[in-house]
Amino acid sequence: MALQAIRPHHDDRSDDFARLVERDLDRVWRFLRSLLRDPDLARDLCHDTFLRLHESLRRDEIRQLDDGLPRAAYVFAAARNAAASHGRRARRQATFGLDASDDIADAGRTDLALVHGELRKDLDTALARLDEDHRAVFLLSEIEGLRYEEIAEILEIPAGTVASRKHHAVQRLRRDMERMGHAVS
Amino acid sequence: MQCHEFETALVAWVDGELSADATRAYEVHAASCGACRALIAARRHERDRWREALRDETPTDLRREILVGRPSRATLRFHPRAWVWAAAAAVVVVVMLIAPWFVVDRGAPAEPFSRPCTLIAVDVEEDEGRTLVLPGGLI
Repeated sequence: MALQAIRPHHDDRSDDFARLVERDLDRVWRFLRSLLRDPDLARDLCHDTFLRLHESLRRDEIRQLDDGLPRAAYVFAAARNAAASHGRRARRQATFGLDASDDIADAGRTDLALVHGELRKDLDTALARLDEDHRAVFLLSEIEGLRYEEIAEILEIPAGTVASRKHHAVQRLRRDMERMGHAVS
Repeated sequence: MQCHEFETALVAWVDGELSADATRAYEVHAASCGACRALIAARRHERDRWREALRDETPTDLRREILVGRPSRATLRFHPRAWVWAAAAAVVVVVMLIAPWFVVDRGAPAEPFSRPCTLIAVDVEEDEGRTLVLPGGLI
C-alpha cells in the first residue's frame, strides 16, 4: 500500500467531499470489506478510494455529477479500482514469496466469526468460494441494490454478463449455505 | 411461461431487471402457480437475510480519519515488501562502514620525494654488541 496519507481536506470542495463521505462511506466500506474479507485492508482501501475521489472533486475531473456529487457508479468504480490495484500488488508480492492472501483470509474469518456469528461467518465462507468477479456483482447488486446497468458500468462488462453472474452467484451461494445448514425456509 | 423458465429468471425478476414484456409474462404465471409464488417469497427472504447479515457497521473512527485527513493505521503499516528494501539498504550501509577496515592499498609505491617531506638520517653504530641509534642531521 502506498505510504501516502490523505491530506486535510480544506479547499472549496470540502463541503462536497464531506457530503460524499456521508453518503457513500458506509456502502463503500461494506463492499470492500465483503469483497476482500479483510477489515484492515478494507479500511486502507477506503482511505485510498476517498483520497482519489477527493482529488477528482478538487480538480473538477468528474463529468457526471448527481446533486454535485459523483454518481454511485463512479464511487464504486473507484473502490473497485483500488481493490484491483491492491490485487495486482499482492500478486507481485507473491512472486517474492510474500503472499499475504492466506493471512488476509484467516484474519477476515477470525474477525467475522467473532463479530457476526455463524450466519455471517458461513456466508463469508461461501462468498470466499466465489471468484472475485461473481462476488463483486453479487455484493453490488444484492447488498447495495445497484441496477445491472450501473454494475456493468462499474465493472466494464455487458449488462447481460451481470445478470448471468448474479444468477450463478446466488445459485452457488444458496447451495453452499444449504450445505452449512442455512437453508431458506 | 413454464415453471423452469420462471425459476431461471427469478433472480432478475426480484431485482426488477426484467423487460416490461417479460415482467408481464412473469406476473401472469405467478398468478396461476402457487409453487412459483413460493419461490418468489423464498428468494426475497433469502435476499433480505443475506443483506442483513452482510450489513457491517462502519468503524466509528474511519469517517473522522477520512474527513480530517488522518492516515489509517493500515496505511502507515510497514509494508512487507518494504522490509526487503530496508534490509538491503542496511546491508549496503554496513558494508560501506566496515569496508575501509579491510581495504589493503596494493597500488604502486609512490615515487621517492614525490611529496614534500623531511628525512632524518640515522647513524647506526656497533658498540660492544649493542646497537646504538643516533639521530643524524637533515639530508
